[in-house]
Amino acid sequence: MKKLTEHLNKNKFGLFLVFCILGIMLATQFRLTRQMPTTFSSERAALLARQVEAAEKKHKELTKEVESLRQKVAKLTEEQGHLRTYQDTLTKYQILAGTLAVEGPGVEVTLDDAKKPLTAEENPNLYVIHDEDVLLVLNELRAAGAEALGINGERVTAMTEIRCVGPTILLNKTKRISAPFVIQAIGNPAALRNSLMMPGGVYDQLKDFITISIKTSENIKIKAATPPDYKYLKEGRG
Amino acid sequence: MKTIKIPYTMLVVSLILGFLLTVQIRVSREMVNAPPLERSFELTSRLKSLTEEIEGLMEEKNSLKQKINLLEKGGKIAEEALISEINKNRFWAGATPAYGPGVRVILNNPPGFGNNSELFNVRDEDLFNLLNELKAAGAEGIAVNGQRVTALTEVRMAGNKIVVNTKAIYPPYEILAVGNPEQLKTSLENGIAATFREWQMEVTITKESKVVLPPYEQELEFNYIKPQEAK
Repeated sequence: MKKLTEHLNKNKFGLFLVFCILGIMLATQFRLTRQMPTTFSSERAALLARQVEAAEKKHKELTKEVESLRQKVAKLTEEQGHLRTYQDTLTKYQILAGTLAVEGPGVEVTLDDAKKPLTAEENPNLYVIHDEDVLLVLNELRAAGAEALGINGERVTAMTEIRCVGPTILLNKTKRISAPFVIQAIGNPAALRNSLMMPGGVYDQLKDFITISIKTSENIKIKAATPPDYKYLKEGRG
Repeated sequence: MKTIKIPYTMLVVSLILGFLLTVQIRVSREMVNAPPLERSFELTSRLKSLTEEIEGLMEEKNSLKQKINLLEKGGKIAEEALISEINKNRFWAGATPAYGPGVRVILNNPPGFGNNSELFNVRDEDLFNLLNELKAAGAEGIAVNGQRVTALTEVRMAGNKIVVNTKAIYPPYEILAVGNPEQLKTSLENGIAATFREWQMEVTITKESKVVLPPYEQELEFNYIKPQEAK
């Protein structure tokens, strides 16, 4: 030790070197500690990292949940598709039952009592419209593929009766309509018209007695009938 | 004396040097462990965007749940309502079997053969006039030889046969009608049946406590008709 001090004492240069190192270290230390306060403490960074991790976990769970909910919505929406099928089925039965107001192309057959002046020998009863004239036209239109029938906008249903009383027709028990009577049929206009106009057909049978005219139409509107209120009829076979 | 003091200075200097070295090493070790400034900023901004996304996801989850609830409830209600409407309209349309009290009408061509006898065979118009009388007398459902009478049922001659619902039917014709048996029978007896008998057709009308009507079996195919647009 004594030898060393003596040596150092002798060698002032060594001491100078030591102080140089000391100075550099102090300077570095000073700079480092100045930098320190601007960084987060390790605890804070760790806390942030934990929060991020938790948030990531929650995010993942929610994403999964939302995805499965989306699939469920898609499935349910698809199932609503069969509601449309139900709606189509309902519309068909409503058309046949006559409980839906309908429209479409077709023909209009106008019937009226004969306008010609009658001679004394002619029976005037022959020249007014009878139930069966109307029934004949309706029947022909059905056979020709009519999809719905009406008279002056009133719906002809399965149980619609035709009663010609003087210048009026009674139908659907409570409805009374006046001449001229327009029998309406929705369907293929050409097919309906041709069927009535067949040689020896409905037009030929009626034209000598009453006034009959047939015209096709792009849009015929027929009202819905009142839904039936059965007193005797029950569904099923009993 | 001076030579003795030097070792103390050296000692102090060495101590400080040692201390500084230790601190220096610890500080720089800590500096390496601590995340750099950029990483902390990144964590914070990541947390912020994650939180925002989570909020969005929560909102979507709630709205999806609401939608499912509505779809499930609405779907079930709509489906039940539709099925009930379909069943009612099928029945009204004549597309289901149906039964009730009423009458059975048997109508046959005049017996015997001879000149002009075929002129008074039962024709389509006889049948649709008969159906019209039954309807006017309050019939609620009718079938002709197993064919249900609907709004679109034709009764029409095709050659010498009568076709109903596109099916040929043959005499004797059996007409079943559900309604008030007394009213239906009386209405026919006092009207069209008398005319038929004058033509020598065979007509029997019996009141029945129960007749069963078959369903309409034609395919429902509509190409021109559509529901009127709701106003």
